[in-house]
Amino acid sequence: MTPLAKDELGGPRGAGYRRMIEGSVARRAGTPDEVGTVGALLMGTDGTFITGSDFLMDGGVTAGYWYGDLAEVRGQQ
Amino acid sequence: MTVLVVGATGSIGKLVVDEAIRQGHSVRALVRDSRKARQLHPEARVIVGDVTRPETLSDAVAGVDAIVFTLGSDGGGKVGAARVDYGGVRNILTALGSRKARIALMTAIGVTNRTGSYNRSTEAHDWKRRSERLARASGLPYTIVRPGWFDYNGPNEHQLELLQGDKRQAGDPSDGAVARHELIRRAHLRGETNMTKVIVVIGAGQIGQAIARRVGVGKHVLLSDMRPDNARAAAEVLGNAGYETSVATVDVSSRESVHGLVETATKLGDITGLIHAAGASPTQASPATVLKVDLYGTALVLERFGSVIADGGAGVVISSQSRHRLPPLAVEQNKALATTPVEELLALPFLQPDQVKDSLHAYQLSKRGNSLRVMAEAVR
Repeated sequence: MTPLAKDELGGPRGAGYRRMIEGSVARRAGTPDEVGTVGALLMGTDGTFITGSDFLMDGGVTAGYWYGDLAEVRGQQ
Repeated sequence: MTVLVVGATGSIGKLVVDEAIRQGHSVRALVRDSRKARQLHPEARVIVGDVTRPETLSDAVAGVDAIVFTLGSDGGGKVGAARVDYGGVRNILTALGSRKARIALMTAIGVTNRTGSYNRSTEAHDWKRRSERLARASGLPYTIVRPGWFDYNGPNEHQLELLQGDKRQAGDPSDGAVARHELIRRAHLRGETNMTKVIVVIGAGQIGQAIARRVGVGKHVLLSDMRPDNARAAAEVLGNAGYETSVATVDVSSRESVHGLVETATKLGDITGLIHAAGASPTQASPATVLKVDLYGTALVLERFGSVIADGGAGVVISSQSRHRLPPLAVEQNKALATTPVEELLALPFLQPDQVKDSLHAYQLSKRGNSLRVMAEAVR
């Protein structure tokens, strides 16, 4: 959760976002430190074979959006 | 960087001037006699001064980022060694005062040999050795080079053999030899590897800080943000945790502003890491602003920092899961987002107002673009 994410929760799409979090595999929002861990892997010596890559970390929201219980959110967007 | 070369008309100094200009630095050449400066590279800015006369040195050191000493008393005997080899370094460092600059000091092979006949007659080893002490005691980042014997330019002598200490003291080329131009080329490389490593954070929020805490240990963390207060707040938190930090203000949607940030960062040292975590969310901004900040701004940051990041450096762009809810784009659209020159990016037909439904759509397109831009940057 970040200030930007909190703006989204309080904005016009807030209800949809809340449903996404509740219906996700992790059932919670991510934390900056969890993103920090991936960032550190990518920027550190253990990540030197990784380049030009794209990592999704979303507690399973995208999986649910396309193929799981969050398909209803997709219908509303 | 602005580099001052002390001893610029000497046989090594001239090569230092040429190489520093070739590497894109702004070079000042300190010369005693302006007539001798004619032999220097035309792009060097000549400053007339004498290292033995402190009152002539203030212009030379004003605003320099680095000082390369290749001076030598050139056979002046004991007096010359004390006045030039030692006194010159002392006077320049005194003129610099509390200002910061990187120091490269060339002395000589064998300076720890105090008892040889050469040192007994010239005291050159003694005074050069003492000048090294000035560099060490200055508190500035320094590199001391004690080159071997010059002008052994055989094909097998064009590599640098780095030896620690000063143990081989036969007093002839068996101690070690080096070609002059090799010394210069490698000396610059060596200098750069000793530089401060800088992690640039754009968007000093929670995620930027979280990554910086993990990768910024022992480095300098430059925290930049659109809002100066955010950058300062982050710097306070990281500073209290023991990180070395500085702050800058940046608007990633402005080319001039991003150029300014690059300049600030390169002055701090070698940029080894970039954490781009700035963005405008769809609730915070209009579609046009979202595209300008999130798509154009990220492309601009990658273009500029991709050009200056150190060898082996790494960058991370924080995008959003939101882009994964955008249906796939056509192959040509992907390619356009990945490779269109930065200044033409926002003119792409499918990014025009009649094509972009709302801020969320603009956000998802931008974030898809970020991912594609990162991929293209890896092979640019």
